[in-house]
This record gives sequence, structure tokens and C-alpha cells, in this order.
Amino acid sequence: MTVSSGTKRRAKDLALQVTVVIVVLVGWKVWTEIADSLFFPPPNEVLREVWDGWIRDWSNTWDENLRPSLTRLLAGFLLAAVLSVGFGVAIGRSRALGDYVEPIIHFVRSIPPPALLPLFLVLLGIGDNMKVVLIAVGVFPPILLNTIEGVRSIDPLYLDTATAYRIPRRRRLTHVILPGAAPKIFAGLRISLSIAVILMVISELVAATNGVGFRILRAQRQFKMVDLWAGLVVLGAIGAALNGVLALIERRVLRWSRV
Amino acid sequence: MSTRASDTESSHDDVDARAASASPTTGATAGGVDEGQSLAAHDLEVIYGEGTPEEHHALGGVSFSITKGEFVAIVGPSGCGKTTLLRCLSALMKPTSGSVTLHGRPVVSVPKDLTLVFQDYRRSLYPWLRVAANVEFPLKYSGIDKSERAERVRQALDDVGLTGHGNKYPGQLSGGMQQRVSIARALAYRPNLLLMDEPFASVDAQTRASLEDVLLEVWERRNKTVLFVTHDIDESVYLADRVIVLSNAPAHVMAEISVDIPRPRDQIETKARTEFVELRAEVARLIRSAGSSDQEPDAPDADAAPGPDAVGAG
Amino acid sequence: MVLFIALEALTRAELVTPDYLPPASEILGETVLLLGRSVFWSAFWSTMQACIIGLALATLLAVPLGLVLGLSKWAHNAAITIVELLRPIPSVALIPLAILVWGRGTEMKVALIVYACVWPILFNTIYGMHSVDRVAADTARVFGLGRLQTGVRVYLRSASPFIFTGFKIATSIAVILAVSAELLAGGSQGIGIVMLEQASVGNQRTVYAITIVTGLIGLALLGVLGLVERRLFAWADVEGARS
Repeated sequence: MTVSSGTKRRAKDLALQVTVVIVVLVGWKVWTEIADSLFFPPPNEVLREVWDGWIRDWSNTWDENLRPSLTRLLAGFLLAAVLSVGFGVAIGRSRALGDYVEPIIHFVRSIPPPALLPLFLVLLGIGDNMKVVLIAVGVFPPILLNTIEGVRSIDPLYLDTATAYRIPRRRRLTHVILPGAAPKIFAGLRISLSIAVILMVISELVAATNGVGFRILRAQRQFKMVDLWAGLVVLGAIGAALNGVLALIERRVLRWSRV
Repeated sequence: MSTRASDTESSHDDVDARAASASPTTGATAGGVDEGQSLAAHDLEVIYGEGTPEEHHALGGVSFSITKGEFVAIVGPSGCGKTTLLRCLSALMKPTSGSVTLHGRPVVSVPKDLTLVFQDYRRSLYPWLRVAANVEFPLKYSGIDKSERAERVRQALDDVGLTGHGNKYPGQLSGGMQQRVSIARALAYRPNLLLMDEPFASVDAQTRASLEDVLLEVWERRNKTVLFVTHDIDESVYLADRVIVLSNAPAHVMAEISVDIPRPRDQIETKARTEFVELRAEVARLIRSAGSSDQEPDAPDADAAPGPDAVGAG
Repeated sequence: MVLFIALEALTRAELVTPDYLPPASEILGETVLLLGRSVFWSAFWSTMQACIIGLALATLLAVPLGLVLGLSKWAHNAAITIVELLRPIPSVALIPLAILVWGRGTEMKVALIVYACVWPILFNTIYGMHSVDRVAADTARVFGLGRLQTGVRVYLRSASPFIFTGFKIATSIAVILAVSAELLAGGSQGIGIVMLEQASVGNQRTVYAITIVTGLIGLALLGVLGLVERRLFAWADVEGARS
């Protein structure tokens, strides 16, 4: 395959994607005109509201909506990530521990994340702490399970090499086990990010006084459709941005596997 | 390089008797710390899955010793437990019975001046480290300072002919190059004793030939002791001072054959010599008979030609 | 193994009993009681109803569409673009909107579930269509099977494991949405409602119990789906499909 045909293909793909986006936007506009429904405002109004209501008013937006939401999300996510990778490595290395613990984790994982909300409401009330813990607990199982699998899937020869060269145990952890399990760990992180977002949104829709989700709720209560849709767009943008950041980090850390 | 005299080995002798019968060039003394005798295996036995239906008797009493500076090759039929043997010798696993000594002292954990080069380089180089980092990795925890480490890495890569590839990831290199990195890593570590498990088996013939010569050159220049496991008979005779032939599982030493061909050796020249051809044939015959039936340990090879000393021993 | 969990929980509970964790034995007891209450089961059925209807509709929409679209490469690309565009918006965020449009009843839940589940099923159907072994398709044609027959026998069968994977993913999405919708939209029926009620009253034990039962049901669901998959598609070697 020559260079030019590869780039040509990519350019074609890009052109297609842009076309699709435009078609969708146009289609949306047309449809809203036809349907003329209160609940589905045309895209240009929504985007204008995103600009006016959200972006222009940035510092307010940040304090009232973005910062609370992101803080809860990241706090819960990182807390769970650190704990579950830590536990995951320990459990992955020990067969016995795994046998005990894994059924419990599988069980917790099959509880649909939103169903955890009432439990935490009852236990921890409606404050920020509850939301962080909720997100952390919801996100814990997939990362943990993926870490365990990642650790287990490390080729034993990597560890034998480390033993043969008398590498100290602590280094074995940071330099052999973690990098070896990294691909699976990142897969777990990706799944968990979307769960975290879901939990964040739900907790803000049910029990919050600030945050992006709350703003959407308020718009709903006041029947301000354009605001509501603007909130959705912003939420989507946040989600996409977070996924993008994670993807960037993953690509950097796992640079060696692309080769 | 002078030729080495042959040793009379018996798998049932104990350490002292072996020390007494060691070759004159090493001046061994019975008992105590023996400088000449680097690594010795004493009646190693390994049984996998003992007591279960899948019980596999891999090693059945293997004994031999290696003296400092020697290049010893171990050959045997496929699956006879050569890898198991190396793992016992390097303390990566414990034998079911028997022991390993290094300089006369028993080996309990991986010794400091010994290293093992694995056959499957793909699974032993760390794909997340660049080549230079891979080679440097074992050195980082031996208390060697940064500039010396860099120098050793550079030299090791030079030795194996990979100058300038330090910045690449293993995934970007061919199989032969990856195996060279694996060897470079072992070299940079500067062990006195190098154990190699069929390191050139997964590599094409031409690369293998050049790697063999690289290995010989490094061995001579840096005065190391090498124990080289292979299933390639030609390779074993070409490289070694002494060839140890293992039997089928449960493996024991069938014969130790001294290779008197002078050094330096050459791929074409050496392999055309009569001594080479004869030695090679002898090893091949032993292996073939090992593969076919239970070998009677004490039968000497009646075809022993005049020239190199060949002793069949159990 | 499960025994161990029970034992562990019991012993742990006797040691740690602040307001947070009522003794495990009591929770277990409550769970058993719960299973006997018809209120619980009718709420459960409400939730399930919405899921089943929604999933069925989504499948009916997405599979044929996916089969058709899967035949063309650029349709595939277009579909991916749309999916990627919509993916960052969590479907749960659409609940307030859905409540306004469809009210608070089962209709709303079904509408949401259909919207959210169409994408994974559609996407995986298209993906499955693309994974059809060219050789198998050509072999069929060589043996004189017409286009329609080829379509059904070869393509559909080859794509079916992927479609099923999409269906599995959609199932968990459906359950999440149904429960979330109930949490947000009081005044309807369902497990979420019951949980919320119990939570607001402060009935820890009951909430724990319901949560546990939900988890068990989830496990059972996973198990059943897994079983079905193994029986129907043992012949397939499915590379992880995307959600």
C-alpha cells in the first residue's frame, strides 16, 4: 500500500464522517421544523444556548456546574482506580485470595449501578461524599476484575526472567507486573469511565443542588427545553472530552504495543 | 586454546570422588570450596505431578560438573528435560531430589554470578521497554552507577552486533535481533556463568551461524563459562569443549564426549574436518539409541575411533 | 464458594455493626421475606415489562436495518460516526427529557430503552455482517444459492453471534435505564420506585435486601444469556464486539 492511497482512504473516511455530521444536523433541523414540537427545539437554538448560557458565562458555569460534577466524578473514579488496581494486583498474584473474593465482586458487578443509589442514599444521605462513594463503588468491580485478569495473563516467563536476574520484589511490581497488566487495566478503566458518568448524572438528577445534571433537571422543571438540550450537548462534550483524555493517556502508556 | 582432558564421570559417585577425578588442569581438591569446579549437579531428580496420573519423571539422577572457563554443551532427544535441568541449575525451581552446587557451595536461590538466557526470547524480553532499557534492566539493581551501566549496555550491544538499535522497542526487531538483545542483556550483566537454553533454536540458519560465532567470540574474549543446551548436534560439537549427552526421560547423563578440535573454530573449515564428522556421528548415534529404548548406562561405545577420548558412562 | 461468602458476611457483621451495616443474618432474613412479598414481584415485573418490550422493539428495528446497512461499507462508516457522536451522551441524562415527552409511565421507559438499545444492536449487527467469511459466502454462491438464500443462510448465521453479543450489551443497558428512570420519575411502578420509597423511609435492611436481590437477578440473567449463547453459538469464535 503506497502512502498516497493510505492518506486518500483516510481523507475519504474523514469526508464521509463530516458529511454524516452535517446530514444529521440538517436532518435534525428539518425534522424539528416539521414536527414543530415544543420538546425538540432546532439545533441552531440549542447551540446558541450552549454558547450564551454556558460558555459566555464561564466562571459561573465552572463554579456551579462543571467543577462540582467533575470533582465528584474524578474523585470517585480515581479513588476506585487506585484501590482496585492495588487490590487487583494482590488478588491476581494469589490464587487462594482470588477464589474467595471473585464471586463477591462478580455479584456486586451484576447489580445495575443505578440500583446502588437508594442504598447509598439511605446510608450516606445526599451530600457530595455519598456521590463520590457511589461512583467509586460502581466503578470498582470492572477495574478490579480487569486488573486481576491482566495480572494473571502476564507471561510467567517475564517473571522468571526477573527472578533469574535477581530483580528485587518491589521493582518486579512496578517494572514487570504493572506494565504487563496495563493493557487489560486500561480496558477496565474505559468501561468504568462510562459507568462513572452514568452514576454521576443520576446522582445529580436525584439528589443534588449543583452540577451539570442538576442544571438539566432544573431546566426540565422550568420547562426550558432549549436549556435542557444545551445541557445535554454539554454533557456529551464532557463525556467525549473525558474519553479522549483517557485514550490519550492510554496511547502514551501503551506506546510499545502499537509497534 | 588447549584441549581439555576428559573426565571420568559416574552419576553415582559422590562429590568427593568427583573432585578427586577432576581434570588436572583445574587442580581440584577433595571437599571444601573448589575454585576450579564452577557448577555441579548431584544426582538431580525431578518428578512432575508426583502421585497423580499425569506423573512425569523428567530427570532421573543427572550428575555432572563444569569447570571454570569451559564451554559445555548438553544435547539430548526432544523433550528429555533439558529445560528442566537448566531451571534446577539456576535455582528457578527445586529438584525433587539431588542438589546443585556452585563453587562447592549448595545453590539455594538464583546465584549472583549466574544468568540464564531463555529460548523463547519473545516472552522474555519486556515489550514495554526499549532495547537499551531491556539490556540495562538487570543492572539497575546491582548497585552499578549510571555511567558504567550505559557503558556496559553499549558494549554488550556492540558485542552482539546491534549497535545503534538501543532506542527501538523489541516489537520492532526481527526474531534473530530480539534473541541477540536477550544475549546482550545476559552479557551486560557480566555473570561468570552463562546458562543458555536452546537460544538459537527459533532463529533461521544463517542468523544462527553468525550468532554462534558471536557467542564464541564473546566467550573467548571475556573468559566466561558457558553451559549451552541444544538439540542441534552440529551446533553442540561446533561450539563446545565437551558435549554431555542426555538420555530420554527420565533423563540421566548417557555420555560425556570431549571435543578436541582446536580453536578458533570456523563454520566452514571446522565442519569439514574428520574429527568433527566423527564426533558428530557419535553424538548422533547416542541420541538415536537414547530415543529408541532404555539405554543401559554402562555400555561403552564400541565404535570409539582413535583420536578424541570418548568415554561412555552413566 | 458461595458458602464462604455467606459465612464471611455473617462473621464480619457481628464485629462491625454501626448504623451502616445491619447484621448479615438480618439482611438475609429480610431478603428471604422479600422474595415472598407480592409487592416486590409486581414491581419487579413492571420493570421487566418495560425492558422486554423495549428490547424487543429495539431488536426488531435494529437487526433488519443492520443487516441491510451491513452490506455496504460506507453505510458502516456512517453508522459508526453517528454512534460515536451520540455515545458520549449518557442515555440516563435523557430521562428528564423523556419524562416531559412521554410522562412517567411505562411508555416513557420503553421509549428510552428503544432509543438506547438500538445502537449497540445495530452496531454489532453491522459489525457481524462485516465479519462474514468471504469464502463461505462465495462458496454458497458457487453452489447456486440465490442472493436471498445466501443472505439468510450464510450472512445471517455468521452474523448471529455478533448480534447476540449486541443483544447482551443492550440488555444491561435496558436494565440500567429502566431502574434509573424509575428512580427519577416517581409515580410509576417498578423496582427503582420501591427502593427509593424504602430509602426515604430509612428502611436500611429492606434497601439492602432489594439491592441484593437485584444483584442476584442480574447474575441469573447473565447466566441465562450465557447459557443460551453457548448452546446456540458454540461454533462461533466471537471477538469482543463493541458496545
